[in-house]
Amino acid sequence: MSNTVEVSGQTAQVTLSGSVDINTTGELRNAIQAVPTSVKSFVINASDVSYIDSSGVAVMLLVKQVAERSSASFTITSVSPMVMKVLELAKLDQVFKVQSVASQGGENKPAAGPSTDFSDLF
Amino acid sequence: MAIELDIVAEFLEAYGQSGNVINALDSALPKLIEHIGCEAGSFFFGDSASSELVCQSCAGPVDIRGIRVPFGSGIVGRVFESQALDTVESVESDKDHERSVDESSGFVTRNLLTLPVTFKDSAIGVLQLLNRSSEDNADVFPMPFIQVAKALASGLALGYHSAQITDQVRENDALLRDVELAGTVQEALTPTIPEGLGFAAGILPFKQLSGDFYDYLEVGSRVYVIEGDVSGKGVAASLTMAQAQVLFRTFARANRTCQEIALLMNSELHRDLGVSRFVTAFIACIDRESRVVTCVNAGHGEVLKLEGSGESMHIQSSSPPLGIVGMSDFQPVEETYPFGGWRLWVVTDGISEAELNGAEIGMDGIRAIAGRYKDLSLQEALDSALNLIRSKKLATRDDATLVIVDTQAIQ
Repeated sequence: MSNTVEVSGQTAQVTLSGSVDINTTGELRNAIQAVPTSVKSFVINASDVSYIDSSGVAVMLLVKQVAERSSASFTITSVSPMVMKVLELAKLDQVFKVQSVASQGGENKPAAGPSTDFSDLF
Repeated sequence: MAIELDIVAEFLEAYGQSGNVINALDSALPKLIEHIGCEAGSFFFGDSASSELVCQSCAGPVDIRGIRVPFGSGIVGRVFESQALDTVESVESDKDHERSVDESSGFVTRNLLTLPVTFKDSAIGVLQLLNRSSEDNADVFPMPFIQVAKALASGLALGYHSAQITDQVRENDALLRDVELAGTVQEALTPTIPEGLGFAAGILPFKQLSGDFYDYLEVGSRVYVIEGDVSGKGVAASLTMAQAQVLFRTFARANRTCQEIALLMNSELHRDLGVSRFVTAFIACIDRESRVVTCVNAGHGEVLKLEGSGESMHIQSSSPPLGIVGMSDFQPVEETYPFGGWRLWVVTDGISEAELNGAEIGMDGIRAIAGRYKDLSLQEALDSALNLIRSKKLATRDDATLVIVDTQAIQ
């Protein structure tokens, strides 16, 4: 799993996958900021993300801001359900317009539910 | 040979004592050239920043320290690039010999031995020994002589490498001290909550510096409370955290509503934070006069409101986190709850995303914890919940912060 930035012609494709957090976003930020200003379209695909923290969200914001600086278009083609949940909880779905949510992807961690027995905790 | 080795050993010992490789070489080089019958010697350091070789140490009749030779120029440049030992028995026949140095210094070079100074595959510089007197037709640079020079070059490389490691350790030490100091400052900025204000708060930093924070300010009959989470980690996040706290206190002191505080904080942070840093925040105001709690959730995830009856609801975020969007796009909604037998459980993701038996507990887990501790006092409930993280019953990989608001605990 890796996070990549690929520039082809006037398009920069940012692919996020696996765990997108403080430990995996350092070089990615540099790569995003190094995208040539001639690029006119930024596309994020986050359909295979299993975990994202605030550093990962910050990377998505960085792509958006770099695109705005270059007067380029900005699109999020697909996100995993986990990413969508984070965006919705933080009301970031007002900031990011997501084209589609992958039905599966990112090998999501199991989450507790209403029927979960929490007695192990106490 | 014993004397030559003594010279190398002295060099290493001098370096060990002074920690300065050039001082050690300044002391060793004159002994070496005297012993092996050379007229002069010099060490050129390869300065990659300027792409030049700089003479840092020399011995002999002329002081050439500070002379700079571009990479690839002259015999020193040739050896630095090729990393191969080079003997020139007569410089007259060597096209790379820089005559300008001789002309400006008045020194006449006849022969020279130039050795690369390397550590592993990393080029450090070159060592040059000049004008060796040879008897009759003997070799100008016989093998024993070359071996001693090589030993000194190796010692020099070792000394340089050690010096680089030492500098790195010193820098790391300084950085660690800075982080430690920042941690102390952060701890000082985290207030102890007096009893009777109607809320309790606690924080468990995952590492030395936390990106989470809470704060409060009592202004007349109002108690303003904030719990926040700064994006990212480390010193940069802790500086943003301090800025957010100052802004919160400034606007709370002016008796603003929670919505106004959020709007004003957002405006300042949006202007100052630059590219992609933000703060999620839950801001509440416990008004002891009008007996209501007002609150704003700015991108902070869900907040649990648990009634005494056991019923619960979630207070959703009504806006993006602070600092992301400008004023026109930032419209947080303030909610109002009359005093009653309920508690608000405000957690950061270090708690809501903590895991029990490999599964994220989420808000169902928070609900279970709040329900379990609903009959404990405010402080006991807080301590018991944080103890689940301390005891590692809940596994987290982030800072864990909890604020519990309980208007029945107001004294």
